[in-house]
Amino acid sequence: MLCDKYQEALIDAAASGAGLPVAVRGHVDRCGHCGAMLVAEQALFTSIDAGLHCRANTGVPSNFEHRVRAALPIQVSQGRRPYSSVFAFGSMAATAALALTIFLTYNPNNGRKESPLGPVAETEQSASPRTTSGDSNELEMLSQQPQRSHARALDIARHPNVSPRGNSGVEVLVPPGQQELLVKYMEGVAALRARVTYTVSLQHVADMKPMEVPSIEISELVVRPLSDLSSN
Amino acid sequence: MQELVLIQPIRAAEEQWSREAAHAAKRRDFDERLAECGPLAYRVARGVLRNDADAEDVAQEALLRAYRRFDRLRDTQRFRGWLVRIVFRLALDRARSAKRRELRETEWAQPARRPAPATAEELAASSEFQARFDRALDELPEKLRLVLLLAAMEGHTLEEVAAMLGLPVGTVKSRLFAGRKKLAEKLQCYVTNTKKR
Repeated sequence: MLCDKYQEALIDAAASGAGLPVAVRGHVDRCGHCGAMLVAEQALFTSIDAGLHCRANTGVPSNFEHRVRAALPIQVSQGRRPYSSVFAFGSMAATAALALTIFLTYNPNNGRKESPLGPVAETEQSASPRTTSGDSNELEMLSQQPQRSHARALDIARHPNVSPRGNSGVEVLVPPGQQELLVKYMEGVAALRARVTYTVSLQHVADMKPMEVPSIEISELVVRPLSDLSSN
Repeated sequence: MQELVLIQPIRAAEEQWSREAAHAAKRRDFDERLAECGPLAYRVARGVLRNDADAEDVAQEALLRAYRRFDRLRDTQRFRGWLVRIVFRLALDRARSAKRRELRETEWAQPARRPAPATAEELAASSEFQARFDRALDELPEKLRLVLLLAAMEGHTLEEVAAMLGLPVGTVKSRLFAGRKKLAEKLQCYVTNTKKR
């Protein structure tokens, strides 16, 4: 019974590694059982410390740092984009709406292929200054197609619930609260497009002449057997 | 005459250069942190998982996560603390999933590699104690286990462990004491059995 009283103190002393209190020390000196118990506990804690040391201090593989460094560029390229997920979702919705609009507008089965431009695009077309000289007409028409699409899409984005051609059909469905994102996205795209200026003109197409190649003259052809070459 | 003029805004080019320069600086700083803290990350993972390949995977994943958030983790102490915590968390997740997989496949994991004991008796005693010790350590509460592992690593003082974990030194001491005592309680039967033999 007396030894049980000191048992906890012995374990605590062995665990902390500190010295025993005077009273406990006196008992341990007198009681052989408690002395043996203290020694056993101290041995157990020594084993625990050794096990912890062994488990916590394993050698690091020599190629570990190289492996991490090698994985870094891949990770960067696969990493998240800087913009937020809300903006990404808005962009995706806007792109989907734009694609749907373009598809429905230029669909050959739509029955409106002859006048593919809506009223808004027509206004833009008449307002934009451009030259109308000969061969460059077609090129300019091609280069301005995306701008018209953007003009239409921008208008659609500003008025997503209004059909751009009156009653004719295309209506962009945008989730509630996404209209503003769509408008911002389209304005951003339009601003980026506006920064790039292309000036292309073809003037020398008509002046091109076929290249004159002088005739090839072979002065003398000598044929010798191979044995002559090897002897030389 | 054919003319193609492409005007790129100067500001965009400057932004790109500054982005590239910032990226290079980030990479340099991270390389330093990697050399300094990579072994720590590996050892924490190895201490939890007892498996070299898994430990490498987990430490690498944690370091890559750290790289992604490196702008907020430039400070060395902050980086070490964050890294230790995330490695420990990832290692615990990996250990749990491995345990579930083991249960499904009803297979026992191979014990960790240890130096070969000299005699058969020593082998029996060593492997038995080591198995019990590993199990006892795995059963400890996470907060005690992490403190025990970090404190047992060479070169770590209690103050450093406390700074790494963002805890007062007294808390680290008390967790260390409690952890060792719990381990001793779990291994008490082993000592008793040994004495009886």
